[in-house]
Amino acid sequence: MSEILKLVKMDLAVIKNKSVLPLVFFAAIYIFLGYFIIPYAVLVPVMFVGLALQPLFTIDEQNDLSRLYGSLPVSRRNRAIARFMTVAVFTAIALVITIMLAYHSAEVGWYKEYNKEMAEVYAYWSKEITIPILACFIYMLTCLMVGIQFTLLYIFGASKEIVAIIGAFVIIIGGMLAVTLVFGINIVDKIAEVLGNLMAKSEMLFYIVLYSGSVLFLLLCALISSIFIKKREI
Amino acid sequence: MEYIMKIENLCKRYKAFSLKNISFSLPKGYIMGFVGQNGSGKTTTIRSILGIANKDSGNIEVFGLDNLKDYREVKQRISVVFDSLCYPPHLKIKEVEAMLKSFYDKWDTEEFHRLIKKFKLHEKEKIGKFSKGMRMKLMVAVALSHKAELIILDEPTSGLDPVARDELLDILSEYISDENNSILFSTHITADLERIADYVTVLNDGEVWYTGTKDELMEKFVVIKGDADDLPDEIFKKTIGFHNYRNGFEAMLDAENAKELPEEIEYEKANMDDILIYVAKESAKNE
Repeated sequence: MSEILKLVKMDLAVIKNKSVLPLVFFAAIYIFLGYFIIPYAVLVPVMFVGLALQPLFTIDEQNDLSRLYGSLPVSRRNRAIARFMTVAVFTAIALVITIMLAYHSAEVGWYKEYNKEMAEVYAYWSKEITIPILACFIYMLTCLMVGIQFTLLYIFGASKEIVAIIGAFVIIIGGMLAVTLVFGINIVDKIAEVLGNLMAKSEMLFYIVLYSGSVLFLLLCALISSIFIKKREI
Repeated sequence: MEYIMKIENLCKRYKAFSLKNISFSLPKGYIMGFVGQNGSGKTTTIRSILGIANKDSGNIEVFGLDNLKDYREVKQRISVVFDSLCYPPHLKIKEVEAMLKSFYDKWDTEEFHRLIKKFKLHEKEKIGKFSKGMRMKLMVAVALSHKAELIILDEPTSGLDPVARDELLDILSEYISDENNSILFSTHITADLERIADYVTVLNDGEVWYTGTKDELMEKFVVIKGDADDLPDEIFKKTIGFHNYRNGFEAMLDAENAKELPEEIEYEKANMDDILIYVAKESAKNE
């Protein structure tokens, strides 16, 4: 575990100078939208975390950092786990900050003055979809997207970054369509039904299942990636 | 004799190249030069030692431990210096230290800063802006800061000016003065090896051509020149890298066979460059 934490710290040290500015820039836009259009918008920057961490792969390959990792007393499996845990940690931090800001924007209510139609939409939806529920769902979606994307980056390499991004979309949307066509199940409705039942049972259970499921999914992606790290000798 | 590293029958196959049964051992407290022309397999061997390249077969032991199963302990005790910067170039020296020190149980911060000061490296500048010599010194400072017992250097002097090369070799000589320390130094600059190496392993086309003491290697071969008509057939068969020019021939020969040469054939001791050149010529002939 301590090895993984050291590798997470290493990833964050490598990325901080590269990613902070673009992340802050895009986050600022959505926070602005949250305060003046609809509070939900504040939660969107959580999804940028994956994009913010992607340069890690480019930096690794451009500088042949496999040599550095190869000389450190760390295992390939832990390197992959740490990379995905960096996603989980970074996303969780972004989530906490955005939840606080979303609540604050709902409280100050500037959006009510500047956008009355959206204010009505928010007033209607916030009875069912509260900020914590939407935040949890966004966290899950982010972990899903980034997990698949990073796994594809490990498989194909940073030079095929576009393949990884498109691949992630294709796998998720293609998978949903495939399930619909083959089994005749509308996966979106099914997921909503399952989540709704979970929420009805217990809100705490809903959060536990979604958050832990997201982290477990990242762990699974990490284990798959570690196989490809070994195969590609990186 | 105690060996700090033993490689036995290491094989690694790529599409266009393969290592074939690489075997050599590095005695503790000595410097081994690992020499060969470009593409002979030096870096692949080093990557196999570090576990970066997946060997197909063979055994690699470092400090009596398996390099893969006991990688944690092995890598705590070794340092690696590569031919180019292996840290993110946008970091500064302090950030590099912060990134690395937690991985090593014996990291010595005072020693690291002493070396940074000694090498006159700019702490406030991004390491990507360092000259080649400064980058090398940074990697050496990191290598020397966690009490490693074995330093592996992969062509560290290539691209360095003579002054920087000389400085690096002085640093390595100081490091090896501790009998517990050993060095594996891969290079194709043979002058460096002639200066500091105790042992030499010569790789040629993915195979070990020679492994043993440097002194023995330097006495082992001679370069012979003369008229090809004067060269007896039995001696011709034993030559290495035989090449006929307009004015005569040149080749390398085992020094023991030099006694059987006719007077018309001149010979002189082969230096490291000669050895590499004639080995490469022989290899090209056999393809």
